[in-house]
Amino acid sequence: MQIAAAVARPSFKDMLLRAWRSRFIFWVERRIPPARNIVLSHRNIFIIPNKQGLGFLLVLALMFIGAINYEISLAFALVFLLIGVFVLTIFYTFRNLAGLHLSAVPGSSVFAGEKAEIIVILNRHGERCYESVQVSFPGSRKLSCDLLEATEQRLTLYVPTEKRGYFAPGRLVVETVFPLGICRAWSLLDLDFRTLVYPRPEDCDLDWILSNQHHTGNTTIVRGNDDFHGLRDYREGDSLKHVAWKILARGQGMYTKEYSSNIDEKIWLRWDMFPTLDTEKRLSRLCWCVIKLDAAGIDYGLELPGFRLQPAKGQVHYQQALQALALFGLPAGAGA
Amino acid sequence: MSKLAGVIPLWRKTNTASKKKVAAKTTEFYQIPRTAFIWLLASVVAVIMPHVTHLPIWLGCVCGLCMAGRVLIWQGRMSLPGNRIKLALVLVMVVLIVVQFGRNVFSTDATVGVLLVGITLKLLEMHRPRDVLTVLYLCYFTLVAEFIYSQAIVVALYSALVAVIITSALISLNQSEDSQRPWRTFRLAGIMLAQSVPLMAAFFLLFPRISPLWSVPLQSKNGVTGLSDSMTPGDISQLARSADLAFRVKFSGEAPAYSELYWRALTLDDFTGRQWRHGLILDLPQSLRANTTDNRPWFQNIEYLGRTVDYNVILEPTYENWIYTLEMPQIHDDRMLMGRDFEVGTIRRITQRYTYDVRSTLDYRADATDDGLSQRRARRVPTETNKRAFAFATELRKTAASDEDYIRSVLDYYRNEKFFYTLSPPKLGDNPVDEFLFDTRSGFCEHFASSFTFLMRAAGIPARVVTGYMGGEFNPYDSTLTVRQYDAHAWSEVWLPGKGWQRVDPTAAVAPQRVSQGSNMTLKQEKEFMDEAGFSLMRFRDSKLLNDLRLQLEMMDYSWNRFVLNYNQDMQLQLFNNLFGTMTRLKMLLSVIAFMLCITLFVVLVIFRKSAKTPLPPATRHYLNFCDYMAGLGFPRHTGEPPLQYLERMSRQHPQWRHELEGITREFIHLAYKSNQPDPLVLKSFQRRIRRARLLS
Repeated sequence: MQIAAAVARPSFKDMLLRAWRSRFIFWVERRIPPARNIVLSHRNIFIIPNKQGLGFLLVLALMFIGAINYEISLAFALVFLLIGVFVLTIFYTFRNLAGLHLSAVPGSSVFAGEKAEIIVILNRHGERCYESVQVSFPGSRKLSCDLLEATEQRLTLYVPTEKRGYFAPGRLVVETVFPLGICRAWSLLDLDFRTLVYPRPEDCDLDWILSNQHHTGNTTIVRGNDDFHGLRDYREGDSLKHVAWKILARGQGMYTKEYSSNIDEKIWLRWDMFPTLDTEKRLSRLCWCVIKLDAAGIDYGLELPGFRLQPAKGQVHYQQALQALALFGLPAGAGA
Repeated sequence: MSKLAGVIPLWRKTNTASKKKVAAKTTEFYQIPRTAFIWLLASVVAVIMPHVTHLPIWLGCVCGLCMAGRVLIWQGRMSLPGNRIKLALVLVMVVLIVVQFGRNVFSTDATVGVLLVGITLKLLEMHRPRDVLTVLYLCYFTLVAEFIYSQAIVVALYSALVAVIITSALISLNQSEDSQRPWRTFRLAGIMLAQSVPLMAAFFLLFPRISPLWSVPLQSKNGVTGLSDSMTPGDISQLARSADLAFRVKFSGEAPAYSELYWRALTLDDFTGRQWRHGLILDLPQSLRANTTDNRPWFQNIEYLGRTVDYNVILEPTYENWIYTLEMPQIHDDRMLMGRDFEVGTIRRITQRYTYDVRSTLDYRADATDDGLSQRRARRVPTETNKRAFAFATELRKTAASDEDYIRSVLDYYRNEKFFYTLSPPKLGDNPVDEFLFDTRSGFCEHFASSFTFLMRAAGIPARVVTGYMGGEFNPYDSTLTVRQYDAHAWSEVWLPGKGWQRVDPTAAVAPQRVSQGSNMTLKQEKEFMDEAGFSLMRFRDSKLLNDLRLQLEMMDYSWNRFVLNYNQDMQLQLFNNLFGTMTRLKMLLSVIAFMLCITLFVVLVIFRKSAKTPLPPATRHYLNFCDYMAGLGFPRHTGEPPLQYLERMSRQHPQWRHELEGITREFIHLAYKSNQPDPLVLKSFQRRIRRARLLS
């Protein structure tokens, strides 16, 4: 809550900065239009000396003063040589991005609040090598990669999501300070890319739902004894509760334990099951039910205003249900 | 299905997980990449190395210990020192430096010492990437400090190498650990520095040189060999142990005869009985400054009679106020002034290599009439000591017909009695002139000059001792004259009415070889000669091959000194004048700005050109050439028109070309789209086919 207080009264400097940033973003939007595959060139690379570069210049200035005061020809020569290096570095840093091809593909879909998985693909065509190129989305970690022997690199970035629906991450930041770290070349790219985010699942009383089903027929719900199903590689975002700690402790890597429950039933999940809740809450509960039922292997159908999915099970059905929940009420093509 | 199995409990956990991450970030400890660390250490070692010789030993040890400590920390055998230890280390260092340098704590030596200790201590405090950068930037800075001590070619080359190493370290810092290839990094750094050389050269030539902003503490005279402003028996023979460079001379015309190469510096006319001192106790430039008005009367006392010689001298730093010239110099240089005894002094002490142009008139007459003062000063003689010599002089003067006759008989005395010219004469007691003239009879030039001058004064003839250098070594490759410390010499000047001051060299009476061939030839048998020269090529002058090599290296060194190290405001202006006619400061500034613009333009052009062009595959290139050719005939391919469609259109218009066109198009499609890596031979035949097709209209 301290942060809120700080945000409440922005200083003049902050306002200026924000105004400047929004102008810049507006300018960037026009300068680098969205595209699925972008080649970096002088049209979309920005380059400027960074803090370290200013430090470098400061040292050069000090050396220059030394050269003047002691009247040392060689010191002049050295300073001029390093000025030359500085100028060249601008070019070299630029060249460490220029000609790079970038595109992105979505990884697996996620629920709101989790981190969306986005795979950025960097390609080089031709002889030129690239080193220490860093890519990041707003909110994600920076990943660095080299294109020396390889001609293609795939980097998986995780971007936090908040809302359901189509999610387009902010502009991809491609940057590099290679070789000397005194200049920063960067570009802000819109890779014209979106990924689906399902509603945030929210816990609800599944028993109550099941008992209120309008159907006759025997329900045998096996609950509480989820069977251990197998192991798979740990992925960022997996619950730490399900990590196979024993295996990790043996030093054999990080795995996630999988469980499966066996529930055998046909169930209708309906919009009006939660009459007291607002739209988002309802969607969250329904989402939770879908996940649970799918995990239990029970047939389920989904009924939303203007949408109806016949009871079934399986991967395709599951995704159809989640997609319907994710896009419910959103204008067609929103976020795209 | 399996993908989502682990997902369910996650949304409850997100909050705590993110908190944990923040906590981890604040305690994260920066670890310098392994290879970068080695580069860093190499840079520091390379930067400190050349300073080891002139640093106090303990300072070198501290640097070594710090580096060793850093290596141990890096290996994990030690932890980074805490704040208290660091504070203690800094305090100890400050105290040690103050104790070591005492009053000279602001001297260059002390500053460099502080700098080096700073770098090595900083090695022990590297928590952030910024700390590593600081060390590397300081390394660059220390290279400048190295040039204060020496700017020889070797030092320049070494520094270039060190600059490459430091730059490699910078590059390595920005490389991932997986793609560290030391040689590639080094090569990249080397290429970058090499590519900066043209820019450096242009800047070096064109960038306006500014006079020093404030006076800097210069290093002390310690360890610099050279003449001083007094002379005691043994002083000059001490210099003969050294082969250090004193100065280099380039004559613009014919050089004078060897025996005329008396490089005059100071007149010593105050004799204590043992020591000859510069008569005016006042500091030299002060005494000169008092006479800066144009009516310096003694200039009118010089008559220039004949042969003149012009030459340029590059003097090594002496930390003194005078320069060396042939007699009788005419100076047109506002950095220096001529004194009463025709010595030339400089206004500032010579702490840097110093270049000057002189015209000397070899035949002259100076102070032909007695002006009272300088002659009186040159007759003073202490009577308490050296009584035997005094009596000897009085006796000899009585038998001589004239002053000239007396001089001749004194020189004859040196020649006829058994006097020895040697570097290691016996020690002299309280009456040095007496003992030398009548007992030991062996000495170096200062003994002869001193005793001769004494004998003159004792007989009432004004006389004074002159110190400087005599001779030198001609380099046949660039015809420069190199004067070394072992060429140091002392001789006398006597004043004769109507003739003025005359140079008399009593050493020539004893060892004529010294004056005709130089001390090198005369003294090389003596074991003290050059015994402080260390291991240098000077030792192998008897081997023709090595001697030639040495002389060529010296020639290079001379050009280096003359054209690189001495490039200053004056030379810059001269260069501009030669290039663009008369140059004003404004014009110069404008040309510099124009030059910078050119460079910027060049860089921009390079960037745009490189990025605009992506080389086309050869088959496409050939096909496009063909299309151009067709366009030249008046049948251009439309923008974006596919080759097959183009073929179709052309075939309809010109059925007679169909066969040829179809062949080319099909082959192009095959080469461009159907084969991955076209065979160069096939490509060649494709190209030939297109060339042949040109003949078809």
